[in-house]
Amino acid sequence: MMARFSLWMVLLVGLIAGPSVQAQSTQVSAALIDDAVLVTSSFTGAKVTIFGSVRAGSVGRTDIVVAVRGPDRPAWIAKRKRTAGLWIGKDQINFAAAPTFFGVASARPLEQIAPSDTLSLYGLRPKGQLDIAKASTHSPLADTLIDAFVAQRQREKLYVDDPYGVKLLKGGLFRADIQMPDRTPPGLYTAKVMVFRNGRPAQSTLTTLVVTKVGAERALFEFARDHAVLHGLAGVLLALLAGLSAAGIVKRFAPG
Amino acid sequence: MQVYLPIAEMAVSPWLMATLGLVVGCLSGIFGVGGGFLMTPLLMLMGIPAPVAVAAGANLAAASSMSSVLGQFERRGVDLRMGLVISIGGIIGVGIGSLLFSWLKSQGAAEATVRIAYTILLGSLGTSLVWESLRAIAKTRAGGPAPSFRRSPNDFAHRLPFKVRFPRSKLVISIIPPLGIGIGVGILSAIMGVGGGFILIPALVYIIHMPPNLVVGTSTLQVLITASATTFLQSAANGSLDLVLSGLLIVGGVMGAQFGVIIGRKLKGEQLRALLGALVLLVALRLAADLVLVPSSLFELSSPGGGL
Repeated sequence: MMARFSLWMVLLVGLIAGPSVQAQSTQVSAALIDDAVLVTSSFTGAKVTIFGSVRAGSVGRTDIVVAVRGPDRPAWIAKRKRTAGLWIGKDQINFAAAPTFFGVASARPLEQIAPSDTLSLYGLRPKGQLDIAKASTHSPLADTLIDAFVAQRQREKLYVDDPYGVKLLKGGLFRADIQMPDRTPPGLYTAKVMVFRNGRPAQSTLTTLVVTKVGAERALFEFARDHAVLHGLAGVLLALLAGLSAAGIVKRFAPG
Repeated sequence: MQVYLPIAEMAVSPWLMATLGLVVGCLSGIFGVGGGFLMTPLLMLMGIPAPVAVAAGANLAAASSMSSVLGQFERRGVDLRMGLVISIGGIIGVGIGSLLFSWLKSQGAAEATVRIAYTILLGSLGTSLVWESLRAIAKTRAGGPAPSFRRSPNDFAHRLPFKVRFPRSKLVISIIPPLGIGIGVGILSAIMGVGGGFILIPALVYIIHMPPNLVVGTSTLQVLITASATTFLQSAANGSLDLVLSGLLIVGGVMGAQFGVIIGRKLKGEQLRALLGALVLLVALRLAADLVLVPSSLFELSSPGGGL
Protein backbone atom coordinates (compact mmCIF):
# COMPACT_ATOMS: atom_id res chain seq x y z
CA MET A 1 0.00 0.00 0.00
CA MET A 2 2.69 2.45 1.04
CA ALA A 3 4.66 1.62 -2.06
CA ARG A 4 1.75 2.36 -4.29
CA PHE A 5 0.93 5.58 -2.50
CA SER A 6 4.48 6.85 -2.71
CA LEU A 7 4.57 5.90 -6.37
CA TRP A 8 1.60 8.15 -7.13
CA MET A 9 3.14 10.90 -5.06
CA VAL A 10 6.32 10.67 -7.11
CA LEU A 11 4.45 10.91 -10.37
CA LEU A 12 2.28 13.74 -9.10
CA VAL A 13 5.18 15.75 -7.75
CA GLY A 14 7.05 15.10 -10.95
CA LEU A 15 4.24 16.47 -13.06
CA ILE A 16 3.30 19.47 -10.94
CA ALA A 17 6.69 20.61 -9.79
CA GLY A 18 8.37 19.86 -13.06
CA PRO A 19 7.93 23.02 -15.07
CA SER A 20 8.81 25.36 -12.19
CA VAL A 21 12.23 23.75 -11.60
CA GLN A 22 15.09 25.68 -13.10
CA ALA A 23 16.56 24.35 -16.28
CA GLN A 24 20.10 23.80 -14.96
CA SER A 25 19.41 21.59 -11.95
CA THR A 26 18.58 17.95 -12.44
CA GLN A 27 15.89 16.38 -10.30
CA VAL A 28 14.97 12.74 -10.04
CA SER A 29 12.49 10.84 -7.95
CA ALA A 30 11.56 7.21 -8.19
CA ALA A 31 9.53 4.51 -6.44
CA LEU A 32 9.05 0.80 -6.70
CA ILE A 33 5.76 -0.71 -7.82
CA ASP A 34 6.18 -3.29 -5.07
CA ASP A 35 8.70 -2.82 -2.29
CA ALA A 36 8.45 -6.47 -1.24
CA VAL A 37 9.11 -9.54 -3.36
CA LEU A 38 7.45 -12.55 -1.78
CA VAL A 39 9.14 -15.93 -2.13
CA THR A 40 6.33 -18.45 -2.03
CA SER A 41 6.44 -22.14 -2.88
CA SER A 42 5.74 -21.25 -6.51
CA PHE A 43 8.48 -18.60 -6.71
CA THR A 44 10.33 -18.81 -10.00
CA GLY A 45 11.82 -15.35 -10.04
CA ALA A 46 10.39 -11.85 -10.01
CA LYS A 47 10.36 -8.66 -11.97
CA VAL A 48 11.22 -5.49 -10.10
CA THR A 49 9.63 -2.42 -11.64
CA ILE A 50 10.64 1.13 -10.80
CA PHE A 51 8.73 4.20 -11.94
CA GLY A 52 10.13 7.65 -11.72
CA SER A 53 10.34 11.09 -13.13
CA VAL A 54 13.34 13.15 -14.08
CA ARG A 55 13.66 16.84 -14.74
CA ALA A 56 16.72 18.05 -16.53
CA GLY A 57 17.79 20.84 -18.80
CA SER A 58 16.97 20.62 -22.45
CA VAL A 59 20.59 21.00 -23.59
CA GLY A 60 22.44 17.75 -24.14
CA ARG A 61 21.44 14.18 -23.45
CA THR A 62 19.92 12.70 -20.29
CA ASP A 63 20.42 9.04 -19.42
CA ILE A 64 18.84 7.02 -16.64
CA VAL A 65 20.57 4.00 -15.15
CA VAL A 66 18.89 1.81 -12.56
CA ALA A 67 20.86 -0.67 -10.46
CA VAL A 68 19.37 -3.25 -8.07
CA ARG A 69 21.82 -4.89 -5.71
CA GLY A 70 21.10 -7.97 -3.61
CA PRO A 71 22.45 -8.75 -0.15
CA ASP A 72 26.13 -9.67 0.15
CA ARG A 73 27.17 -13.22 0.94
CA PRO A 74 30.54 -14.94 1.00
CA ALA A 75 31.51 -16.80 -2.17
CA TRP A 76 34.44 -18.55 -3.76
CA ILE A 77 35.66 -19.53 -7.20
CA ALA A 78 38.33 -22.00 -8.23
CA LYS A 79 40.03 -22.76 -11.53
CA ARG A 80 39.82 -26.36 -12.60
CA LYS A 81 43.22 -27.86 -13.27
CA ARG A 82 44.20 -31.28 -14.47
CA THR A 83 45.65 -33.00 -11.42
CA ALA A 84 46.68 -36.63 -11.79
CA GLY A 85 44.36 -36.90 -14.78
CA LEU A 86 41.38 -35.36 -12.97
CA TRP A 87 39.93 -31.90 -13.42
CA ILE A 88 39.83 -30.57 -9.90
CA GLY A 89 39.20 -27.05 -8.64
CA LYS A 90 42.49 -25.45 -7.56
CA ASP A 91 43.79 -21.92 -7.11
CA GLN A 92 40.73 -20.88 -5.22
CA ILE A 93 40.03 -17.31 -4.23
CA ASN A 94 37.45 -16.34 -1.64
CA PHE A 95 35.22 -13.32 -1.54
CA ALA A 96 34.42 -11.99 1.90
CA ALA A 97 31.29 -10.53 0.34
CA ALA A 98 29.81 -10.59 -3.11
CA PRO A 99 26.39 -9.29 -4.11
CA THR A 100 24.06 -12.22 -4.64
CA PHE A 101 22.17 -10.22 -7.24
CA PHE A 102 23.32 -7.28 -9.30
CA GLY A 103 21.07 -6.00 -12.04
CA VAL A 104 21.63 -2.84 -14.09
CA ALA A 105 19.13 -1.44 -16.55
CA SER A 106 19.52 1.47 -18.93
CA ALA A 107 17.98 2.76 -22.13
CA ARG A 108 21.14 2.22 -24.17
CA PRO A 109 24.39 0.30 -23.60
CA LEU A 110 26.25 1.56 -20.53
CA GLU A 111 29.53 2.10 -22.34
CA GLN A 112 27.78 4.64 -24.57
CA ILE A 113 26.49 6.51 -21.54
CA ALA A 114 29.67 7.09 -19.58
CA PRO A 115 33.34 6.08 -19.51
CA SER A 116 34.01 2.79 -17.78
CA ASP A 117 35.95 4.36 -14.89
CA THR A 118 32.95 6.54 -14.10
CA LEU A 119 30.66 3.52 -14.18
CA SER A 120 32.93 1.64 -11.77
CA LEU A 121 33.29 4.63 -9.48
CA TYR A 122 29.52 4.96 -9.17
CA GLY A 123 29.05 1.25 -8.54
CA LEU A 124 27.35 0.27 -11.74
CA ARG A 125 29.73 -2.56 -12.57
CA PRO A 126 29.52 -5.89 -10.68
CA LYS A 127 33.29 -6.30 -10.74
CA GLY A 128 33.80 -3.33 -8.45
CA GLN A 129 31.31 -4.71 -5.93
CA LEU A 130 33.28 -7.85 -5.08
CA ASP A 131 35.08 -7.77 -1.75
CA ILE A 132 38.01 -10.17 -2.00
CA ALA A 133 39.06 -11.89 1.21
CA LYS A 134 42.41 -10.70 2.57
CA ALA A 135 44.11 -14.05 2.10
CA SER A 136 43.19 -14.15 -1.61
CA THR A 137 44.32 -10.67 -2.66
CA HIS A 138 47.82 -11.80 -3.62
CA SER A 139 46.72 -14.69 -5.81
CA PRO A 140 48.37 -14.29 -9.23
CA LEU A 141 45.16 -15.54 -10.85
CA ALA A 142 42.89 -13.12 -9.01
CA ASP A 143 42.06 -11.03 -12.08
CA THR A 144 41.17 -14.01 -14.26
CA LEU A 145 39.11 -15.58 -11.49
CA ILE A 146 37.17 -12.39 -10.76
CA ASP A 147 36.28 -12.03 -14.44
CA ALA A 148 35.21 -15.67 -14.59
CA PHE A 149 33.12 -15.24 -11.45
CA VAL A 150 31.23 -12.31 -12.93
CA ALA A 151 30.82 -14.12 -16.26
CA GLN A 152 29.39 -17.23 -14.56
CA ARG A 153 26.95 -15.20 -12.48
CA GLN A 154 25.90 -13.41 -15.64
CA ARG A 155 25.17 -16.79 -17.22
CA GLU A 156 23.05 -17.68 -14.19
CA LYS A 157 21.18 -14.35 -14.64
CA LEU A 158 22.26 -13.27 -11.16
CA TYR A 159 24.31 -10.41 -12.57
CA VAL A 160 22.26 -8.76 -15.28
CA ASP A 161 23.08 -5.92 -17.60
CA ASP A 162 20.03 -4.93 -19.60
CA PRO A 163 20.71 -2.06 -22.04
CA TYR A 164 17.02 -1.84 -22.94
CA GLY A 165 15.51 -2.24 -19.45
CA VAL A 166 14.68 1.45 -19.05
CA LYS A 167 11.76 2.85 -21.05
CA LEU A 168 11.52 6.60 -21.35
CA LEU A 169 7.92 7.74 -21.30
CA LYS A 170 6.44 11.13 -22.03
CA GLY A 171 7.01 14.17 -19.83
CA GLY A 172 10.23 12.98 -18.19
CA LEU A 173 8.69 9.83 -16.79
CA PHE A 174 10.52 6.55 -16.99
CA ARG A 175 9.98 2.94 -16.16
CA ALA A 176 12.69 0.34 -15.43
CA ASP A 177 12.21 -3.42 -15.30
CA ILE A 178 14.78 -5.75 -13.81
CA GLN A 179 14.26 -9.50 -13.89
CA MET A 180 15.46 -11.60 -10.93
CA PRO A 181 15.87 -15.39 -11.29
CA ASP A 182 14.58 -18.12 -8.93
CA ARG A 183 18.00 -18.43 -7.30
CA THR A 184 17.81 -14.85 -6.01
CA PRO A 185 18.28 -15.19 -2.27
CA PRO A 186 16.10 -13.38 0.25
CA GLY A 187 17.32 -10.25 1.95
CA LEU A 188 17.40 -6.48 1.71
CA TYR A 189 17.91 -5.12 -1.79
CA THR A 190 18.94 -1.60 -2.74
CA ALA A 191 17.71 0.08 -5.88
CA LYS A 192 19.67 3.07 -7.12
CA VAL A 193 18.50 5.40 -9.85
CA MET A 194 21.22 7.53 -11.43
CA VAL A 195 20.79 10.33 -13.92
CA PHE A 196 23.65 11.08 -16.29
CA ARG A 197 23.85 14.38 -18.10
CA ASN A 198 26.15 14.21 -21.14
CA GLY A 199 28.09 11.34 -19.62
CA ARG A 200 28.42 12.86 -16.15
CA PRO A 201 26.51 11.74 -13.11
CA ALA A 202 24.11 14.51 -12.21
CA GLN A 203 21.71 13.15 -9.63
CA SER A 204 20.78 9.93 -7.92
CA THR A 205 18.24 8.50 -5.53
CA LEU A 206 18.13 5.34 -3.44
CA THR A 207 15.29 3.13 -2.39
CA THR A 208 15.11 -0.36 -0.89
CA LEU A 209 13.05 -3.48 -1.33
CA VAL A 210 12.96 -6.74 0.56
CA VAL A 211 12.91 -10.20 -0.92
CA THR A 212 11.38 -12.37 1.75
CA LYS A 213 10.21 -15.92 2.11
CA VAL A 214 6.59 -16.12 3.17
CA GLY A 215 4.16 -18.83 4.22
CA ALA A 216 5.40 -22.40 4.24
CA GLU A 217 8.75 -21.44 2.70
CA ARG A 218 9.47 -19.00 5.50
CA ALA A 219 8.24 -21.36 8.21
CA LEU A 220 10.43 -24.20 6.93
CA PHE A 221 13.47 -22.00 6.46
CA GLU A 222 13.23 -20.47 9.94
CA PHE A 223 12.50 -23.86 11.46
CA ALA A 224 15.65 -25.26 9.84
CA ARG A 225 17.77 -22.31 10.94
CA ASP A 226 16.48 -21.84 14.50
CA HIS A 227 15.70 -25.44 15.43
CA ALA A 228 18.21 -27.48 13.46
CA VAL A 229 17.88 -30.45 15.82
CA LEU A 230 14.10 -30.60 15.66
CA HIS A 231 14.26 -30.05 11.90
CA GLY A 232 16.55 -33.07 11.57
CA LEU A 233 14.20 -35.15 13.70
CA ALA A 234 11.31 -34.02 11.49
CA GLY A 235 13.21 -35.29 8.46
CA VAL A 236 13.75 -38.68 10.09
CA LEU A 237 10.13 -38.84 11.19
CA LEU A 238 8.96 -37.96 7.67
CA ALA A 239 11.01 -40.84 6.28
CA LEU A 240 9.78 -43.34 8.89
CA LEU A 241 6.11 -42.40 8.48
CA ALA A 242 6.29 -42.44 4.68
CA GLY A 243 7.95 -45.85 4.77
CA LEU A 244 5.42 -47.20 7.27
CA SER A 245 2.39 -45.97 5.34
CA ALA A 246 3.72 -47.25 2.02
CA ALA A 247 4.27 -50.70 3.54
CA GLY A 248 0.79 -50.53 5.11
CA ILE A 249 -0.95 -49.57 1.88
CA VAL A 250 0.72 -52.33 -0.09
CA LYS A 251 -0.07 -54.92 2.57
CA ARG A 252 -3.70 -53.92 2.43
CA PHE A 253 -4.13 -54.01 -1.34
CA ALA A 254 -1.55 -56.56 -2.42
CA PRO A 255 -1.04 -59.05 0.40
CA GLY A 256 1.73 -61.57 0.03
CA MET B 1 4.96 -25.77 -12.64
CA GLN B 2 7.87 -25.25 -10.31
CA VAL B 3 8.31 -25.57 -6.58
CA TYR B 4 10.75 -23.44 -4.62
CA LEU B 5 13.11 -25.31 -2.29
CA PRO B 6 13.56 -23.26 0.92
CA ILE B 7 17.05 -24.51 1.82
CA ALA B 8 18.56 -25.08 -1.63
CA GLU B 9 17.06 -21.66 -2.55
CA MET B 10 16.13 -22.65 -6.08
CA ALA B 11 13.07 -23.79 -7.99
CA VAL B 12 12.65 -27.33 -9.31
CA SER B 13 9.89 -29.20 -11.09
CA PRO B 14 7.99 -31.26 -8.47
CA TRP B 15 6.91 -33.83 -11.07
CA LEU B 16 10.48 -34.39 -12.16
CA MET B 17 11.60 -34.88 -8.54
CA ALA B 18 8.74 -37.27 -7.70
CA THR B 19 9.44 -39.25 -10.89
CA LEU B 20 13.12 -39.40 -10.01
CA GLY B 21 12.10 -40.69 -6.58
CA LEU B 22 9.80 -43.25 -8.20
CA VAL B 23 12.49 -44.60 -10.52
CA VAL B 24 15.21 -44.74 -7.89
CA GLY B 25 12.73 -46.17 -5.37
CA CYS B 26 11.74 -48.87 -7.86
CA LEU B 27 15.39 -49.80 -8.38
CA SER B 28 16.00 -49.81 -4.65
CA GLY B 29 13.02 -52.12 -4.16
CA ILE B 30 14.29 -54.50 -6.83
CA PHE B 31 17.78 -54.72 -5.42
CA GLY B 32 17.06 -54.32 -1.72
CA VAL B 33 19.19 -51.21 -1.28
CA GLY B 34 18.22 -47.73 -0.05
CA GLY B 35 18.84 -45.91 -3.32
CA GLY B 36 20.78 -42.98 -1.84
CA PHE B 37 23.84 -43.97 -3.83
CA LEU B 38 21.93 -43.31 -7.06
CA MET B 39 19.86 -40.35 -5.88
CA THR B 40 22.67 -38.19 -4.49
CA PRO B 41 24.79 -38.14 -7.68
CA LEU B 42 21.68 -37.66 -9.85
CA LEU B 43 20.64 -34.64 -7.78
CA MET B 44 24.16 -33.24 -8.05
CA LEU B 45 24.11 -33.70 -11.82
CA MET B 46 20.89 -31.66 -11.83
CA GLY B 47 22.60 -28.71 -10.18
CA ILE B 48 21.52 -29.16 -6.57
CA PRO B 49 24.36 -28.24 -4.17
CA ALA B 50 26.24 -31.28 -2.86
CA PRO B 51 25.36 -30.84 0.86
CA VAL B 52 21.64 -30.63 0.05
CA ALA B 53 21.89 -33.63 -2.28
CA VAL B 54 23.65 -35.68 0.41
CA ALA B 55 20.98 -34.93 3.03
CA ALA B 56 18.15 -35.68 0.57
CA GLY B 57 19.73 -38.95 -0.55
CA ALA B 58 20.10 -40.13 3.05
CA ASN B 59 16.53 -39.14 3.85
CA LEU B 60 15.24 -41.13 0.88
CA ALA B 61 17.34 -44.15 1.89
CA ALA B 62 15.83 -43.99 5.39
CA ALA B 63 12.30 -43.92 3.97
CA SER B 64 12.69 -46.78 1.52
CA SER B 65 14.47 -49.01 4.04
CA MET B 66 11.70 -48.30 6.56
CA SER B 67 9.10 -49.44 4.05
CA SER B 68 10.85 -52.77 3.52
CA VAL B 69 12.32 -53.57 6.96
CA LEU B 70 8.95 -54.52 8.47
CA GLY B 71 8.39 -57.18 5.84
CA GLN B 72 11.89 -58.48 6.54
CA PHE B 73 11.10 -58.76 10.26
CA GLU B 74 7.93 -60.70 9.48
CA ARG B 75 9.88 -63.10 7.29
CA ARG B 76 12.39 -63.51 10.14
CA GLY B 77 15.12 -62.25 7.81
CA VAL B 78 16.85 -59.95 10.30
CA ASP B 79 19.70 -60.77 12.67
CA LEU B 80 18.80 -58.10 15.22
CA ARG B 81 21.96 -58.45 17.30
CA MET B 82 24.25 -58.24 14.27
CA GLY B 83 22.22 -55.33 12.88
CA LEU B 84 22.53 -53.41 16.13
CA VAL B 85 26.28 -54.02 16.48
CA ILE B 86 26.86 -52.74 12.93
CA SER B 87 24.51 -49.83 13.54
CA ILE B 88 26.43 -48.75 16.66
CA GLY B 89 29.51 -48.67 14.47
CA GLY B 90 27.42 -46.88 11.85
CA ILE B 91 26.37 -44.08 14.20
CA ILE B 92 29.99 -43.60 15.35
CA GLY B 93 30.99 -43.46 11.68
CA VAL B 94 28.28 -40.95 10.82
CA GLY B 95 29.55 -38.72 13.63
CA ILE B 96 33.13 -38.89 12.31
CA GLY B 97 31.95 -38.42 8.73
CA SER B 98 29.78 -35.44 9.62
CA LEU B 99 32.73 -33.63 11.22
CA LEU B 100 34.85 -34.52 8.19
CA PHE B 101 32.15 -33.17 5.88
CA SER B 102 31.87 -29.87 7.77
CA TRP B 103 35.64 -29.51 7.54
CA LEU B 104 35.65 -30.28 3.80
CA LYS B 105 32.88 -27.74 3.32
CA SER B 106 34.90 -25.08 5.13
CA GLN B 107 37.84 -25.88 2.83
CA GLY B 108 35.59 -25.56 -0.23
CA ALA B 109 36.46 -29.17 -1.10
CA ALA B 110 33.13 -30.85 -0.35
CA GLU B 111 31.92 -30.91 -3.95
CA ALA B 112 35.10 -32.37 -5.44
CA THR B 113 35.56 -34.93 -2.64
CA VAL B 114 32.01 -36.21 -2.97
CA ARG B 115 32.37 -36.53 -6.74
CA ILE B 116 35.70 -38.37 -6.59
CA ALA B 117 34.52 -40.68 -3.81
CA TYR B 118 31.43 -41.56 -5.82
CA THR B 119 33.36 -42.24 -8.99
CA ILE B 120 35.78 -44.60 -7.26
CA LEU B 121 33.15 -46.37 -5.20
CA LEU B 122 30.54 -46.82 -7.91
CA GLY B 123 33.16 -47.70 -10.51
CA SER B 124 34.70 -50.50 -8.50
CA LEU B 125 31.35 -51.71 -7.18
CA GLY B 126 29.77 -51.80 -10.64
CA THR B 127 32.72 -53.63 -12.15
CA SER B 128 32.80 -56.28 -9.46
CA LEU B 129 29.02 -56.80 -9.58
CA VAL B 130 28.99 -57.23 -13.35
CA TRP B 131 32.05 -59.48 -13.31
CA GLU B 132 30.80 -61.68 -10.50
CA SER B 133 27.28 -62.09 -11.84
CA LEU B 134 28.45 -62.79 -15.41
CA ARG B 135 30.65 -65.57 -14.04
CA ALA B 136 27.74 -66.98 -12.05
CA ILE B 137 25.46 -66.86 -15.10
CA ALA B 138 28.11 -68.59 -17.22
CA LYS B 139 28.50 -71.29 -14.59
CA THR B 140 24.77 -72.03 -14.32
CA ARG B 141 24.58 -72.11 -18.13
CA ALA B 142 27.37 -74.68 -18.12
CA GLY B 143 25.23 -76.85 -15.85
CA GLY B 144 27.20 -76.71 -12.63
CA PRO B 145 25.75 -75.57 -9.32
CA ALA B 146 25.81 -71.87 -8.57
CA PRO B 147 29.05 -71.03 -6.84
CA SER B 148 28.88 -70.64 -3.09
CA PHE B 149 30.57 -67.70 -1.45
CA ARG B 150 30.68 -69.05 2.07
CA ARG B 151 34.31 -69.76 2.63
CA SER B 152 35.71 -71.86 5.42
CA PRO B 153 34.96 -70.15 8.72
CA ASN B 154 38.65 -70.06 9.53
CA ASP B 155 39.61 -66.51 8.64
CA PHE B 156 40.39 -63.36 10.57
CA ALA B 157 36.84 -62.62 11.73
CA HIS B 158 37.16 -65.73 13.85
CA ARG B 159 40.70 -65.16 15.05
CA LEU B 160 40.31 -61.63 16.45
CA PRO B 161 39.51 -61.17 20.17
CA PHE B 162 36.20 -60.07 21.82
CA LYS B 163 34.16 -62.93 20.44
CA VAL B 164 30.38 -62.53 20.49
CA ARG B 165 27.69 -65.08 19.75
CA PHE B 166 25.17 -64.25 17.03
CA PRO B 167 22.57 -67.02 17.48
CA ARG B 168 20.35 -66.08 14.55
CA SER B 169 23.26 -66.20 12.11
CA LYS B 170 24.78 -69.20 13.91
CA LEU B 171 28.10 -67.37 14.14
CA VAL B 172 30.59 -66.87 16.95
CA ILE B 173 32.94 -64.16 15.74
CA SER B 174 34.90 -61.20 17.02
CA ILE B 175 32.91 -58.00 17.44
CA ILE B 176 35.64 -55.99 15.68
CA PRO B 177 34.78 -56.74 11.99
CA PRO B 178 31.06 -55.87 12.24
CA LEU B 179 31.84 -52.75 14.27
CA GLY B 180 34.57 -51.71 11.81
CA ILE B 181 32.31 -52.29 8.81
CA GLY B 182 29.64 -50.20 10.52
CA ILE B 183 32.05 -47.31 11.12
CA GLY B 184 33.25 -47.40 7.50
CA VAL B 185 29.72 -47.44 6.14
CA GLY B 186 28.73 -44.63 8.53
CA ILE B 187 31.54 -42.37 7.31
CA LEU B 188 30.55 -43.01 3.69
CA SER B 189 26.93 -42.36 4.57
CA ALA B 190 27.66 -38.99 6.13
CA ILE B 191 29.86 -37.82 3.26
CA MET B 192 27.95 -39.31 0.35
CA GLY B 193 24.33 -39.51 1.50
CA VAL B 194 24.15 -43.26 1.00
CA GLY B 195 22.49 -45.74 3.29
CA GLY B 196 25.35 -48.12 2.61
CA GLY B 197 23.32 -51.21 1.67
CA PHE B 198 25.26 -51.71 -1.53
CA ILE B 199 28.53 -51.93 0.43
CA LEU B 200 27.11 -53.74 3.41
CA ILE B 201 25.55 -56.62 1.47
CA PRO B 202 28.85 -57.79 -0.06
CA ALA B 203 30.62 -57.14 3.27
CA LEU B 204 28.14 -59.33 5.16
CA VAL B 205 28.50 -62.08 2.57
CA TYR B 206 32.26 -62.05 2.03
CA ILE B 207 33.69 -60.84 5.36
CA ILE B 208 31.19 -61.90 8.03
CA HIS B 209 29.91 -65.00 6.15
CA MET B 210 26.32 -64.48 7.19
CA PRO B 211 23.66 -66.92 5.96
CA PRO B 212 22.30 -65.51 2.66
CA ASN B 213 18.68 -65.36 3.85
CA LEU B 214 19.66 -62.92 6.63
CA VAL B 215 21.91 -60.63 4.59
CA VAL B 216 19.34 -58.33 2.95
CA GLY B 217 17.14 -57.94 6.03
CA THR B 218 20.04 -57.18 8.35
CA SER B 219 21.54 -54.67 5.96
CA THR B 220 18.15 -52.99 5.53
CA LEU B 221 17.89 -52.52 9.30
CA GLN B 222 21.35 -51.05 9.40
CA VAL B 223 20.61 -48.74 6.44
CA LEU B 224 17.52 -47.49 8.24
CA ILE B 225 19.51 -46.57 11.34
CA THR B 226 22.57 -45.13 9.58
CA ALA B 227 20.59 -43.12 7.01
CA SER B 228 18.35 -41.72 9.75
CA ALA B 229 21.45 -40.65 11.70
CA THR B 230 22.89 -39.00 8.57
CA THR B 231 19.64 -37.16 7.85
CA PHE B 232 19.57 -35.89 11.40
CA LEU B 233 23.22 -34.83 11.54
CA GLN B 234 23.20 -33.18 8.10
CA SER B 235 20.37 -31.01 9.36
CA ALA B 236 21.79 -30.35 12.83
CA ALA B 237 25.44 -29.81 11.85
CA ASN B 238 25.32 -28.49 8.27
CA GLY B 239 21.79 -27.13 7.97
CA SER B 240 21.50 -28.74 4.58
CA LEU B 241 18.33 -30.81 4.89
CA ASP B 242 15.61 -29.51 2.56
CA LEU B 243 12.30 -30.97 3.70
CA VAL B 244 10.45 -29.93 0.55
CA LEU B 245 12.98 -31.75 -1.65
CA SER B 246 13.01 -34.78 0.68
CA GLY B 247 9.22 -34.88 0.72
CA LEU B 248 8.98 -34.93 -3.09
CA LEU B 249 11.63 -37.62 -3.43
CA ILE B 250 10.18 -39.75 -0.64
CA VAL B 251 6.61 -39.69 -1.99
CA GLY B 252 7.88 -41.07 -5.29
CA GLY B 253 10.49 -43.24 -3.61
CA VAL B 254 8.34 -45.27 -1.23
CA MET B 255 5.77 -45.98 -3.94
CA GLY B 256 8.48 -47.01 -6.37
CA ALA B 257 10.08 -49.24 -3.74
CA GLN B 258 6.90 -51.28 -3.43
CA PHE B 259 6.68 -51.81 -7.20
CA GLY B 260 10.34 -52.69 -7.16
CA VAL B 261 9.87 -55.45 -4.57
CA ILE B 262 7.19 -57.06 -6.76
CA ILE B 263 9.38 -56.86 -9.88
CA GLY B 264 12.38 -58.11 -7.92
CA ARG B 265 10.63 -61.34 -6.93
CA LYS B 266 10.26 -62.24 -10.60
CA LEU B 267 13.92 -61.85 -11.51
CA LYS B 268 16.85 -64.16 -10.83
CA GLY B 269 19.61 -63.20 -8.41
CA GLU B 270 22.46 -63.20 -10.94
CA GLN B 271 20.45 -61.27 -13.51
CA LEU B 272 19.53 -58.75 -10.82
CA ARG B 273 23.14 -58.26 -9.83
CA ALA B 274 24.25 -57.90 -13.46
CA LEU B 275 21.56 -55.26 -14.03
CA LEU B 276 22.43 -53.35 -10.87
CA GLY B 277 26.10 -53.53 -11.79
CA ALA B 278 25.44 -52.12 -15.27
CA LEU B 279 23.38 -49.30 -13.80
CA VAL B 280 25.97 -48.42 -11.19
CA LEU B 281 28.67 -48.44 -13.87
CA LEU B 282 26.66 -45.99 -16.00
CA VAL B 283 26.36 -43.48 -13.16
CA ALA B 284 30.07 -43.93 -12.39
CA LEU B 285 30.99 -43.30 -16.03
CA ARG B 286 28.88 -40.15 -16.14
CA LEU B 287 30.60 -38.86 -13.00
CA ALA B 288 34.02 -39.91 -14.26
CA ALA B 289 33.39 -38.06 -17.53
CA ASP B 290 32.91 -34.85 -15.53
CA LEU B 291 36.24 -35.40 -13.82
CA VAL B 292 38.34 -36.66 -16.72
CA LEU B 293 37.10 -34.95 -19.88
CA VAL B 294 37.99 -31.32 -20.55
CA PRO B 295 35.19 -29.52 -18.70
CA SER B 296 32.86 -27.09 -20.47
CA SER B 297 33.68 -24.51 -17.84
CA LEU B 298 37.19 -24.20 -16.48
CA PHE B 299 35.86 -22.70 -13.26
CA GLU B 300 33.76 -23.87 -10.38
CA LEU B 301 32.16 -21.58 -7.88
CA SER B 302 29.99 -21.49 -4.82
CA SER B 303 26.23 -21.64 -5.14
CA PRO B 304 24.43 -18.27 -5.34
CA GLY B 305 23.26 -18.42 -1.75
CA GLY B 306 26.91 -18.76 -0.77
CA GLY B 307 26.07 -20.78 2.32
CA LEU B 308 26.03 -24.26 0.81
